Amino acid sequence: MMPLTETGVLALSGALWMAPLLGFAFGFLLERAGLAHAPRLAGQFYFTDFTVFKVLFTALVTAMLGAFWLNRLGLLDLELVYLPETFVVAQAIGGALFGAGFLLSGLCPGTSCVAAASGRLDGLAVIGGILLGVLVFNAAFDLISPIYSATALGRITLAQLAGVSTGVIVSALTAAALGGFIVLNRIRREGSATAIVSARNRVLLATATTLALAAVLFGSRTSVEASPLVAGLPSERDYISAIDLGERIAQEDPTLRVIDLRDDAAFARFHIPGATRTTLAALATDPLPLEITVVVYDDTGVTAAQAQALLHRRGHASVRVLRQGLYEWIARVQEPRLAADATMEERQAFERAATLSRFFGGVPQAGVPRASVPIGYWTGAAADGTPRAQTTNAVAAVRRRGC
Amino acid sequence: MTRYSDPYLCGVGIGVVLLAAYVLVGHGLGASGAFSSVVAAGTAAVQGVPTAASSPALAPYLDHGVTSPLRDWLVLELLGVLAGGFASALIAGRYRRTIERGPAVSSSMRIVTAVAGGMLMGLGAKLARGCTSGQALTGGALLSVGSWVFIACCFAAGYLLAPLARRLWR
Repeated sequence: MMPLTETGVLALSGALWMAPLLGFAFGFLLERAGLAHAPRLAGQFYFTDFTVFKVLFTALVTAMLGAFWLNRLGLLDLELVYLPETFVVAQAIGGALFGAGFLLSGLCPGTSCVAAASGRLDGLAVIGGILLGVLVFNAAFDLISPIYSATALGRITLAQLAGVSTGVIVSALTAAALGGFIVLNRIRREGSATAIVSARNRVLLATATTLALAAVLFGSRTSVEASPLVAGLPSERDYISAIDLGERIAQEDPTLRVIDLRDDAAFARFHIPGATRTTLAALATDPLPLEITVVVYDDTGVTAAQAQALLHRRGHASVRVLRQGLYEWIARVQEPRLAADATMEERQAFERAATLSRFFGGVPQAGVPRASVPIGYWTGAAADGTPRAQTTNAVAAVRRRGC
Repeated sequence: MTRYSDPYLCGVGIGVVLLAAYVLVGHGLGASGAFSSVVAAGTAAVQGVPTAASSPALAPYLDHGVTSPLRDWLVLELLGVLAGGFASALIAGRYRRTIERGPAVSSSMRIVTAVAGGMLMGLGAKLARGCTSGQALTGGALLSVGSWVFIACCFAAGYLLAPLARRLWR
């Protein structure tokens, strides 16, 4: 699956090397198309030159069809490709200001760079103007920010807005663009006697039509790959015990990140020291450094397992679920218990836990009745019972004590 | 001087470059974002990093104390755009030190309108969180609602105001 940076194939430094290469091709093609000349670009507003439309919408349709089909074939995970967030009012006002600036300057930010690079001093002036505009925005940000962040709709596509499949929108936009090109071609033809459609452009037109028609039939793929989940049956590497976690926290391990997936109220009542609260949705959008060990926990283990799968898919090698969730932390770190008739092995394990417990302000209890120590408590086997109810009770107990 | 290439062919080429960006690095192309980084780095150099980073408008560009714009993907990409445009102009024999303008406009008037237009675009692109590259092209191809709002409003404003700016270009 791609994109390569998100799946860990291409490191960040590799991505940085791609930047000038992709930019070079972009700039080269913009200049080849004749988009370094302001009067040509401005001609679009007076119906004399449609190069901007032709280039912009051909590129848009090409990338749109390409992204749709790579996703459909399971090669590109579009969930991981950056989709600009929608802020309706800001983008409407921003678009209108931008359009006015485009008309005045005859260039846009990308083409102004190409114009400047081909010696056009007006391009250089536009670059200067853009930098000034950004400065003004930054200086006036306090005034602007209510508009800037109003009407936030998040990551939303036209397909989601219209409630239809992505394929339908892709086809409709392709049809609109191709229809537009045919109309533009007729306007241009008025002066000349014959139609000027090259054989190559007929091929492009036919290809786009075919891909768009097929897109209607196939909708969109929401990528879920079962194989890594099935292949990755839980192993010891997928879990961490509360004691091991506690020791790593106590040692202030800088490569460790502990994530609490419960709700705000639960987190406020009690959480593992140093843990940060987040949600699955936030984990899906905000990347964590790949080289750290991430420990996830909740009450039941369900959300934690989902988070683990998500992070694995993002390329994290070391993601561990806290075994038994917060319950195990409370049972083994906050309140380790030792039966009165404990074996030597149990005593040693208790000593290790008790040291840790005192560090975190817990209350180790030695000499309790054997019946109050769950079977397998010190041997590492899974504890019994329903974790959520136990966690709730245990949290209540800790709260009463004022941890 | 070589003729310009077919706009449709160039469009397909740019579309493929954009698709390559999605596939390789997980995001599209941009231009105005690079300007933001440069301004943020400049502000940090003048005011000092802590002061600059305390502004909510600049903080996203000064993440983790990174103040060199060369660490920014979009800045490197835009340097590539400059190099690519220069190379193509040179190869095609189109490199010329000149000021391009409408027939009825003086050079100094052209520079004034270019700066003014650039300012409006800088403001607009900041407000819209992207320009023709980052918003219209990149977000449009991914069907982002906001990108299409931007495209519609940009061209609507351009065409509505065009009669007022006629003297500049005709």
